Amino acid sequence: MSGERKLVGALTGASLLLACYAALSRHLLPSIAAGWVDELVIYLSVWAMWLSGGLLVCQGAHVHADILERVLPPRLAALLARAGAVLGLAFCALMTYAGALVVALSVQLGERSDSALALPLHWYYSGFPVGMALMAWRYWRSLWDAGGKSDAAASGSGP
Amino acid sequence: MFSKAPAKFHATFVAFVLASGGIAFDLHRPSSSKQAPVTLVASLDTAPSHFRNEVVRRFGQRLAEASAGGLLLEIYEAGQLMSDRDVGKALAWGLIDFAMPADSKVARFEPNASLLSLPAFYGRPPEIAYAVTDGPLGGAVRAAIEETLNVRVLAPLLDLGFTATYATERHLRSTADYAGLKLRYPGGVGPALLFAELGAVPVAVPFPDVPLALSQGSLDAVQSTHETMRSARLWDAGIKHCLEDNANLIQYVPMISNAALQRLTANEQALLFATWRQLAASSRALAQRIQAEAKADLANAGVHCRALPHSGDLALRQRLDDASRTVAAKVGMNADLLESTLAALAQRP
Repeated sequence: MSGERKLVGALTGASLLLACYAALSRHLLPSIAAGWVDELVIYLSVWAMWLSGGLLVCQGAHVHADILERVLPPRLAALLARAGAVLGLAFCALMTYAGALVVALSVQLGERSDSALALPLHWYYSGFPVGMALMAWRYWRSLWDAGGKSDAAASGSGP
Repeated sequence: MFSKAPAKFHATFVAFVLASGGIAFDLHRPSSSKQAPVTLVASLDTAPSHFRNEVVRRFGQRLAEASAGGLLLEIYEAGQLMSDRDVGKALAWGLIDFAMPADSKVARFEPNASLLSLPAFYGRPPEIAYAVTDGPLGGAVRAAIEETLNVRVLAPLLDLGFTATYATERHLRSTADYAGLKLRYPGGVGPALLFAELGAVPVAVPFPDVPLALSQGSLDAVQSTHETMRSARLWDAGIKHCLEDNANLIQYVPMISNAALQRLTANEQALLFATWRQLAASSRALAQRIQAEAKADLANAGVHCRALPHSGDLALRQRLDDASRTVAAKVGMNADLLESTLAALAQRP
């Protein structure tokens, strides 16, 4: 998880620096401004956003019915959390597959960006299935961990 | 990967991802029969008032009339289905049947579609660009598009017109006046390298962001067409000067997916191509008239255009040829096509 966090931080930091470079160079020193920087900022930011999804699931900070979980009795709240994780896992797995199809189509067609960078766009699109796969993995892990805790509680060996 | 899973499953998922606005559209059209009309789904991302939409609507009307209601064009405008950036993929996968993106959007998939954006075309009279696009070189590009995207291109292509350069403060008179301009170009490697070669700072800015960028001084100049400038009223954002430099001829590429063609009989296919040919024959003159009217409106709004003076600067021509080779290598354009084009242009300096 710390590796993911560092990667998200590095991508966000790089995109911030590049955005500052683009803005300053465009206003102060046009001769060193590069037309493709804004595009790169978007790619880095989008990758950072998708990679942070898994971290949010891991920390329980991703979107979920937390108000209901607070007002429900603990057993019902746990059940609701599990149901949410199952739905999240199914949705993210499905989106991983859909995203992989889009990436594969982009590879097949050789799609490139239309800036001077002419970057193969499957690198950009790959952020979506990778982010979804990380979230699916984290939902799976939360279900697995919750299952382990239930077993432990049932056998009386819990804390 | 594609062949193993059911096509409808793929189509539904890709439609979900591509239609980022979450707009659902019917992928399950009834199969054609002798009696039932065949409906072709068309996607455009420009507003209904745009010249291109008008032409496609007229195409749909003529197609319906000529086929006695047997062939219908169902047009989704203003990006209701997807952006023009995505129609290439949607056609390749058979999600839509008809689209007409600008050649720069097609070049995202087929590098040879960048032909008309090569820096070597800069400043040349319109008839030279037309000679290339209407001749065998243009035919080779269309064949490459058809193979890459699994479509048929309806010829001739539809013109939007030649681009010009519009500036806020600087009087543009010659190639020397680009130096240091923060110049917005719509995208593509060709224009980026062209304007860099001319000494400007090319910046790819989405069109909706252009008015604010001009007002705030983030941009000094814009590459566009008279019609686009008129429709966006960019004189309100400070545009005062215009140089008609004919940097690029922008064309729209009408395409129908092969999957859609297979739903048509041989007679219906022939009717489709013939109807387009008849319509497109008059559309070039229509596009030129629209651009001329837009130029007059620009003048009324205080934006005065100058034509780029003919330059016999052979050193500049050589630099632009070299820039064209760089563009071709960067995007993966066919080397024979490039050299044939440069040779054709060299015969008409």
